[in-house]
Amino acid sequence: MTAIIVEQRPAPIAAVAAHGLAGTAPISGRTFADPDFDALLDSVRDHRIPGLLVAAIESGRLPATEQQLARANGAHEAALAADLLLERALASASRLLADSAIEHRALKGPAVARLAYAEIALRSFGDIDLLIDATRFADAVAVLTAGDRRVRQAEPRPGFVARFGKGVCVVGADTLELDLHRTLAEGPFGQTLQPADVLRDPAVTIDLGDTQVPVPDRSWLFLHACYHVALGSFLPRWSSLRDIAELVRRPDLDIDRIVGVAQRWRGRAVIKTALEVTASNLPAPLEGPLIDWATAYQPDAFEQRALRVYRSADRSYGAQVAAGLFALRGVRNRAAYLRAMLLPSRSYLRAHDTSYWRRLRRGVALVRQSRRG
Amino acid sequence: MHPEGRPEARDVRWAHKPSTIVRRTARALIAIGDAPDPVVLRGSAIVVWDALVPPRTIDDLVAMLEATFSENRSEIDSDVGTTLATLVAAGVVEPLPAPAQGP
Repeated sequence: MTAIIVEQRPAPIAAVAAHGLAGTAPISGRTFADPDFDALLDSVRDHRIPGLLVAAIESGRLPATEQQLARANGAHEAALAADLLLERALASASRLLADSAIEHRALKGPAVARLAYAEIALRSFGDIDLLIDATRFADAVAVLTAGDRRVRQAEPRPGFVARFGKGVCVVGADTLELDLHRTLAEGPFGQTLQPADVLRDPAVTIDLGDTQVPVPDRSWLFLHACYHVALGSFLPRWSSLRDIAELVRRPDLDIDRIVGVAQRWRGRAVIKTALEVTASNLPAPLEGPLIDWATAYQPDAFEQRALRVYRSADRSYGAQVAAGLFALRGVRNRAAYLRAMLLPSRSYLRAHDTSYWRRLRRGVALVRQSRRG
Repeated sequence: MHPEGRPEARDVRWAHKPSTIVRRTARALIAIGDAPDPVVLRGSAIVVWDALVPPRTIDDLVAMLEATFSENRSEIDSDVGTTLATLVAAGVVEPLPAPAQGP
């Protein structure tokens, strides 16, 4: 596969992230000195994989002292406690949404941990992600902010997120974050994908205590994982790369459906990129028919131009938003999008410490840049 | 609850609270219920937790554990009471209503 050049990462955490996958080598032949081990532990915490670190030590692939194992266990238990707090919040949110007949699906952490990993405790997470029916997005925000939770950031103009945005983050006094997604990505790929497709398919349910929470099936989870890895942070978390590796080897992955949906969403290059990023970083072989397909696939002109705003070293949120303009269909949609971007509400400007004039100049520059693509 | 923190009614059956969510590792079981924070169980506390499926009275639990471990009954009885009190306080275990009496 074509390798995508990414920042060099320390080998130990890459090896921890790949622990347990077929074809992986021992992580280290020697015990780490304490400072090196603690640096690894910090990274493992940040990347939500303390469970894999403990598993690697207990299997003997990563030699460690008893004290180091105890510290790894402590980090793992702390992460699991945080996961449980988030899952309780997810169960509560899902009940509220279901009571209001708002279609939704829990994404990422809690869903992937149960549907992709051999043990739930191997996959930790830092927030909750919920895909919400776009036609009920404002209702969902109202339902979930009726208590002490608040939307963290203002939207450019009232109704913008429900029409064009990726979503909002809702946070409460407990500091737990619920990310409510209208769609699965910012920018051009976010405008061409159809999140209603995910909600239209029957949900799988996961049991969180006595609450059955709807989640997408593995094929949808894989597709979303690809969007997250290819279009999210330039350097995705190791847990996200591991998600791809776990899901892609599942025999029940419906490859024809995944590629068909991605074609309809104009996002086949997203799958290809996610697999390339995973393969070039995670030290474990990725194999299977989807890998063969991705190797052979040549992105079209739209995909190549759109990918640049996500995968270039100077990527920015503003550039993605500007590029999103050209992926929208219809003059009215484009006009409304442009108006919200260039003439946001005064409260939004205050929150972002800017002015109409500065925003206009930057907006024009970004739009020109994305046209040149 | 008993002043020392242990459930005192011997005929009450204790059960996992249905809303409880758990995680297991090789060494610990972490559970969250109604209390603000999760509770971490280790060693024999995990055995008590697992023994609550199906729901059991304290005497049932003690008899079951006595058959498994070589400790004497009074020590097991004390451990079970303390563990149950912890689990109840964490909101992950609850007493089941007594079965309806016949006419």
